[in-house]
Amino acid sequence: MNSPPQTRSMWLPGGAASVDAQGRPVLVGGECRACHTRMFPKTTVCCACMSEDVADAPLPSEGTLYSFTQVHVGPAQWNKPLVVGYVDLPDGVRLFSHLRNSAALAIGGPVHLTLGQVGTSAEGEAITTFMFAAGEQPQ
Amino acid sequence: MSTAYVIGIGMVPFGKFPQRTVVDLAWPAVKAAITDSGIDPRKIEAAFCGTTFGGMMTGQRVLGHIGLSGIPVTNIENACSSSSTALRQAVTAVRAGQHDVVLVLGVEKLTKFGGGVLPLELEDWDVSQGMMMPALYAMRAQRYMHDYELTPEQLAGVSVKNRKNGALNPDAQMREPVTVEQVLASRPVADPFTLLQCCPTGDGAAALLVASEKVAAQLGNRAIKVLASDLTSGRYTPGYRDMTIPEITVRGAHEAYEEAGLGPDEIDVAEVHDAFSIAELLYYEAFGFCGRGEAGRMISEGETAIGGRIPVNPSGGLLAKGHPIGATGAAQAVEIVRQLRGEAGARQVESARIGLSHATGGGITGFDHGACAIHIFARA
Repeated sequence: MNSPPQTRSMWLPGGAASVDAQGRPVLVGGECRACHTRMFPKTTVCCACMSEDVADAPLPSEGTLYSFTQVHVGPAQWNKPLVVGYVDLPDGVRLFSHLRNSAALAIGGPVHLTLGQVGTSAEGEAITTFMFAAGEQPQ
Repeated sequence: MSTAYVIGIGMVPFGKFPQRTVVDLAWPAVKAAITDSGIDPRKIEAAFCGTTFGGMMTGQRVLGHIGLSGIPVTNIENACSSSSTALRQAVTAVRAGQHDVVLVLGVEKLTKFGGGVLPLELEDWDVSQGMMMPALYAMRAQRYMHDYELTPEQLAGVSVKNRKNGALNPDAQMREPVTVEQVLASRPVADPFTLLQCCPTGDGAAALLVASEKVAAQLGNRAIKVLASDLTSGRYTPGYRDMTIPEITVRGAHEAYEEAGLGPDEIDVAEVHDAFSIAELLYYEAFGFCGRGEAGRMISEGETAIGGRIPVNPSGGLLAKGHPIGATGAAQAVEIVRQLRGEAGARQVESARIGLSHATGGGITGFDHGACAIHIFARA
């Protein structure tokens, strides 16, 4: 896996997301080797059983939108309006994510992983992160 | 275990007071509670102070300012449940026989942030990715409206009811009634919420004196009995949760009803945590005031208005009375005590005998909410 682009930009998710050799985004979650709880982001200790044996677990890049909202207020760094939601992945993980604004977003509808700019830092850097967009992953 | 009573209450009107210090916001509420009780302040044996942003040693700063020093003071941060948690600690201490008279204080000064959404903990993952309280509640509303019948007009109806109640409360921050049309036409905050469906930012303080049966008996029959004092925290999960069911409140309600030995049908008046319009509706169902999916009908039919089957948030709630977060739980308890004493003036709920207060909050990853404190009170 390569590092994400490093041009005057702030990579928001740290090690929780990356870009593969084909330039496609990948979410890096965790799986506890002791109790098999899956989580995002990965933590050094399991949130279910306290085991410290937590392995990297690439997460599915498609999921179902549980709920979402378009927000018109909030900290200055975010683009406004911003669209955020909860995405349920098929392996049981729910994650909070920025969403690509689109009329096609729908509760219960399919979403797929992508990347995008979600704001600008106080230092003027573009804040980029993983985000989900409506529809299935383009082949 | 012995019984605890509320023997004194006080609060300052909620509003925007950027020129006042936290200490100057809080001490008048404490003094009012002491005056209300008629008790000698030297009889106060301990104090619990709830605040989220009040700063180091808030309780000592406030109490030292008015000659109440040298007693054990515990400062409590539990987000929107800070002073309801303080109340629970005071009740626990009195019931255990540790103290006879305990002071509870809640104070917050949110104007120090200069407006905008409540600042959350940046160390939290979801917050680092853009989570904020309006977004969290808005996602609950969106999902509820997807799963159940609830119209935007019904949702706005919560604000209309609570602003109407707030207009009758001299301690409320928002004292102008509004119409459904005004609510829906106010500026968008987080879909489906418009501004008037979000609690205002503000400052305030409230205080209560909790005492043992022995002390309460000396004061005549004005004391209000604490039937239940429940605190719980959210259950963490990295996986799926049904956001239309506030699990922390459902669990807390069950525990509180069991402790009080009663059920939802016996509650005459309730103050619940209506930080955003949807919240009050979710809590109707969580407390069993109606069945699943019936909250929209309940607000439409006026069942929770003053004069309805079960009046909710007669004070105006967080939407109208305001939500200086550390002061909220104590202020809700103050309102219920006023209602049970029959001292609520124009917003008095007829012959209220048993009342409930509920403060929950804390937007953190993996939880419905971080904390929830529920109290049930009865006229002695």
